[in-house]
Amino acid sequence: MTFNGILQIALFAAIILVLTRPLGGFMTRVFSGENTLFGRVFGPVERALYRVCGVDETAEQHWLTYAVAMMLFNLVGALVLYALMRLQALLPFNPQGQAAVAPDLSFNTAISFVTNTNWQSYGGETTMGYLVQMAGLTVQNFMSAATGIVLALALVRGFSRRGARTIGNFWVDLTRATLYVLLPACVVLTLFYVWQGVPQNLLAYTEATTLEGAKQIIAQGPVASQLAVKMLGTNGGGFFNANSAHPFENPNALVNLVQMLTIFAIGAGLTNVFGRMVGNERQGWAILAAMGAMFIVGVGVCYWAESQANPLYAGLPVDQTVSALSPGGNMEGKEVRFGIANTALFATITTDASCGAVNGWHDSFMPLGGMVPLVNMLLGEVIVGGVGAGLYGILLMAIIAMFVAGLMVGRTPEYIGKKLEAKEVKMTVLAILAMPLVILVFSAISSAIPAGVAGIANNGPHGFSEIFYAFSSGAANNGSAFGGLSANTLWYNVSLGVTMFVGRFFIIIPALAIAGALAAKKSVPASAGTFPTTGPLFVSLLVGVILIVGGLTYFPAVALGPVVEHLQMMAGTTY
Amino acid sequence: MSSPSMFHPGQQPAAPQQPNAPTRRGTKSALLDPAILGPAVKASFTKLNPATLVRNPVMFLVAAVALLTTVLLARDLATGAQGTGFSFQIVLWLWFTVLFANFAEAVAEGRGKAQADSLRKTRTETVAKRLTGPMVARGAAVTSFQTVGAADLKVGDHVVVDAGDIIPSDGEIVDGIATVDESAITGESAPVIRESGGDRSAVTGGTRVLSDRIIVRITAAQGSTFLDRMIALVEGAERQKTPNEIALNILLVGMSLIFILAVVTIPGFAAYAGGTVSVVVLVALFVTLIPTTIGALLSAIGIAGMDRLVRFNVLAMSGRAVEAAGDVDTLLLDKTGTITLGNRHAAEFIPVSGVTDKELAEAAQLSSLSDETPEGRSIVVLAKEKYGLRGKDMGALNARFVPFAAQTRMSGVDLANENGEGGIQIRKGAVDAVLRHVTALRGSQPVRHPELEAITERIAKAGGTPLAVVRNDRVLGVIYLKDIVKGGIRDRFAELRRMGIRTVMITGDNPLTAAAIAAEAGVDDFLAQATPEDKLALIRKEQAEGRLVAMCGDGTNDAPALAQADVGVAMNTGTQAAREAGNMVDLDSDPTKLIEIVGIGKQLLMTRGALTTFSIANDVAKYFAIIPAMFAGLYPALNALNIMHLATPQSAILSAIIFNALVIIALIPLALKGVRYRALPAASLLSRNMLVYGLGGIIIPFIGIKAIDMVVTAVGLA
Amino acid sequence: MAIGCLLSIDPSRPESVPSRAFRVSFVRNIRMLDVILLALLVGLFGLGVAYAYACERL
Repeated sequence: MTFNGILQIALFAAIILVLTRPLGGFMTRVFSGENTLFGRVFGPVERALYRVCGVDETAEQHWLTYAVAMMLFNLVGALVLYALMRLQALLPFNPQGQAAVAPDLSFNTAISFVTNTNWQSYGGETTMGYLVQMAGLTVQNFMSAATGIVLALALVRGFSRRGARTIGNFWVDLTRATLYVLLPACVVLTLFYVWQGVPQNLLAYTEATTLEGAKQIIAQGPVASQLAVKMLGTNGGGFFNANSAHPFENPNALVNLVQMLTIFAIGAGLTNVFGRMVGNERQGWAILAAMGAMFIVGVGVCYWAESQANPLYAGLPVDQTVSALSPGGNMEGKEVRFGIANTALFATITTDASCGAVNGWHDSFMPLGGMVPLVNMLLGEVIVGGVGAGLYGILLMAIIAMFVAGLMVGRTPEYIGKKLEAKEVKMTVLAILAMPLVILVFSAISSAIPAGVAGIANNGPHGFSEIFYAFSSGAANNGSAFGGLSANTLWYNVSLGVTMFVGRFFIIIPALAIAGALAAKKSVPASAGTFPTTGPLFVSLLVGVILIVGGLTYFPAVALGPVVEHLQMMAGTTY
Repeated sequence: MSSPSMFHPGQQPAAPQQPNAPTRRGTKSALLDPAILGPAVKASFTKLNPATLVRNPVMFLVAAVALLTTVLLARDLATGAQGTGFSFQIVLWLWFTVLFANFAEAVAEGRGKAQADSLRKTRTETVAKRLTGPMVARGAAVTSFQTVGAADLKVGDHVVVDAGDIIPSDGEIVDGIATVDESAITGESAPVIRESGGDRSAVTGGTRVLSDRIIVRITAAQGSTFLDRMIALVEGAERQKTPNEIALNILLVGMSLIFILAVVTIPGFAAYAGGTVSVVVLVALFVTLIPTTIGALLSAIGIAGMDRLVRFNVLAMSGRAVEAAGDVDTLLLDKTGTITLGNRHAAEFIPVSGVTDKELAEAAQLSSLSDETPEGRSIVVLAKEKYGLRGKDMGALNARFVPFAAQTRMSGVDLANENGEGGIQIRKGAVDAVLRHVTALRGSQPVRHPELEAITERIAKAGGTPLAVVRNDRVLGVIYLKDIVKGGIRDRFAELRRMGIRTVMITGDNPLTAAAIAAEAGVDDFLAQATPEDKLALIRKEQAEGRLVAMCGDGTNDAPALAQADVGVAMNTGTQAAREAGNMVDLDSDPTKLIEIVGIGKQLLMTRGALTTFSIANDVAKYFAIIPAMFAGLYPALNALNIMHLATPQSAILSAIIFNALVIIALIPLALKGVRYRALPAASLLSRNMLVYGLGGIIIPFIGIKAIDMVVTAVGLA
Repeated sequence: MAIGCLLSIDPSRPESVPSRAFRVSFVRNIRMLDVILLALLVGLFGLGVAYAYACERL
């Protein structure tokens, strides 16, 4: 670990902290229907869209209507995406003549992009034509991100409303999130990325002759526009197979920093939206503090683990010490442009949020370094989290925390003035069950059946980690891959598809049910008998509950994966 | 006030009650009582009935997997497989876990059952004397009645109860006054007075009339009397899960489901590594992980909470009411009897100018000589103590006492002169009433007396009640009657404030007086000149703002408010209507108890939360014990996780399951007694409980499992 | 993100196989798979909607 590395991590954290409040204020105004800077520009567009679609923007929806609208909207998105991929060969904007995508891969990819996961069982530049990339994947990048944002918003309204039957209008929320938040930011970011050297064209790939005389195909396309929303919407699906490790998708350190910042920006801002909408910004800061604490620990462990020399290289002629010329530590699978600190930071951020973009190879991390991204996902991606998903995820954990804490102070548990009763607990439990259900069941099946084991690249516990990571990534809607696993098979495409679906919607639906139930309740005024949810005690309680729930659920699996691998590595055993 | 002596209390305040230390009947520990232990052990087995077990999902799961492993063990024994000794021990401890849980519940129920039995004994087959003729006139002799069994009485029947008779059923006295021994219900041996009319007319079936004869109108049918309800309550026969208990149960079921997933997927992971894990070991891991501790003790905690109230002489009509007590945000307290001692005392005589102290004192004394109200007596006492005025003989003075009348709102005395006519009228009463009296005597325009009004206002501001005294039409001055705020009450309110509970004083006094007493007693707010409707409106307003309201009351006109309040404590001395409207009945009729009731409610919830936290925190150590043991054969490197250095894989698993079972027994006293409760703000309560039950819950099993492992290894069990 | 980028990328998915007879049989197979997977996709969303109604009832 170097001072420079720590400084870069600190710089990142500081910028996020500075961005949180203004972004929160802006989004609050947008979703409260107040006038914003973009109101004059996009206002007519917004109203025209409602007229065309027949949406009454003043009509609010019951949570069930909201949920059904969201499901139908996403179903249509998935079907369109599936069709685009299957019919790719017949459609324009395909200069490379990419063939139709196989059905199972199309199934997987459709769910993947609709659920904001962006798990990719394919290499972008060798599978997808420009039309699919632009009209299919990029569009879903916007839509799935907007869906996440509006769902968090619905849950926040559950807390902020009193005796209300409705939680907002899905169509209005979705339009505003896209038109006022995602689109303007992406336009600016795209221009920035183009300026920094990211390609944005519709040309066929360039064939070049290298200095050695070998032929090289240089892939390109409308990269910048997809890159912007890939990060801002915590989608993470790369235009290229190498994702943000590709020079065209992450040309320099500045772009790398901006990419990392945009992963966290909206998620962090939403905590402030939460605080503002429930009438006390400190509620939002407390949530962000819990996230921040876990983020700092995660990045610290990962950076530390990757900075360590690999004990297996001891005695071999490999220099792993830090010097002016060498970063030292484990450089396997890392871009030399970014180095250990920025790769560890990127890996932590991308798995804290449900982004899944990578600028290095998690498979090549040290066992403990690789455990950080895994644990981040297993905790439910509540550390800032996917846009919206992180907020509703951590609010569910807060409900559990406050339920137990509330009992311990001798009152019917409450959070933000809302009593937590059987209905809320039931829905929270259902939501929390969704992830372990698919992660553990599919991991167990995959590690036992030939179709599952066939996909792994390494023997021993590392192979198990690859499987376990894949399903964790899918269920958490992260989309990052540990690597090593050949997932483009019928078994993995379908099982991961189902995993991503359950990991997304079987959390969202109970969360919406909670929103509906909470909105209908009256608010209990705070007193000295109420446990304050703005202080350090609440933050540590929340972190503790997240760690305990996650830890207890996945202890056996993590022990059999990275933990045993680490112990064996220390003992000198490899596979 | 101008004179400091005005604050001198007329009477020493009552000794402060010990806060939060409910005066309990029978504080003997249930765990040490053989009369409870014996039946409890037996009940542990009868409660194995699946229909009973299914009410507790966590323990039902344990029983189910215990049965599964028993079957597997039987199969292994039949086939003569290896290692059945270890399996046998695990199976044994699994069943112990279930039995211990049943035992905990049975012990908690035990005390209630014993109490119900003794109540039943008092409910011997009573005979009632039912009136047959038309209701006779008040006070007239009862002539015609027939003797019927109490069970044959119908609501609306009139019965006569003579001295020595047991009152056959709940009812209302329509005629007569009697002393009644209510010890069967309240445990209090001193007899109480019950009389027709007013707020003390209710009598309870099963109590005994000691003197005089009363006529009672029956208000409850046999089977639904107060005694019947009390038996059902203390026995727990009608026990329904409370809202928080239901929610907590859902969380526990959810946790169990997560652990089902965590455990059933292990064979898949093991298969990948090329090994297998035996079902017994998986079951052992599963049972140690699911929240058995809180699952086993949850219903015991609920029953014990109700029991604590019963021993505190409060009957809660539902567990819901006890929980609601813990949530109370606003406490409505009647001023008289709760905040102040029931009676006001004369503290000072304040004459108007031109009248001497002594002159006023003399008139006041005269007017009160035959006044048997506590206020009246205190005036005589003050006159004697301060001015040395001796009591005089009314007859010698040729005086005629004029008692207080609702119309005049005055009392006083008429003194005849030597000729026996046209003498002196002395009156004392509310200032406005007295002025009206003077006006009437003078036959003039309404009389105003600025000095009198000034004194009145000063007294009112100090929280006192002014009584004006006139001799004929001459205003002499004012008697300052002072409310005596109960000793220690201020501290209790401060304590409530720390707990986040707002106290509101309800009084019929005028706002000035109310404000002064409110300030002296340290309540947060007051409602002056309150009518029953005002009280109801205040409760509705508080509830509309999301607050939970507790109050106590005894009169019939309190009934709507008692019913509206989230926690309504009716006094046992109160009317039948009040007792039915409230969701708790205080057998001691002590309104101050509301404060302790809140504490008991909070303690109940805290105990549940603390044991849940403890139960979940325990899992950390259990994982560290079992996971390395489980994969010892597959990944020896995992032994690094065996941080307790447990001797062998078998001993590790066995120790974990033994600890898991024994901790249930060890925590029964805590479940019955409740965690320590102090009036602190929520944040300090939480940090303390997190430290004790959260951190303690993580550390204790590491020590416990290690200790058991040492014993198990030493004895050679594994 | 993508899988196996360090492994060789093999763009020759079955559909680019030129043999005509092979192709016909394959197209039929794939249509069957299409139907199954589309049914699964719609079924999953249907399940989600049913789950929402169940949550309202619970």
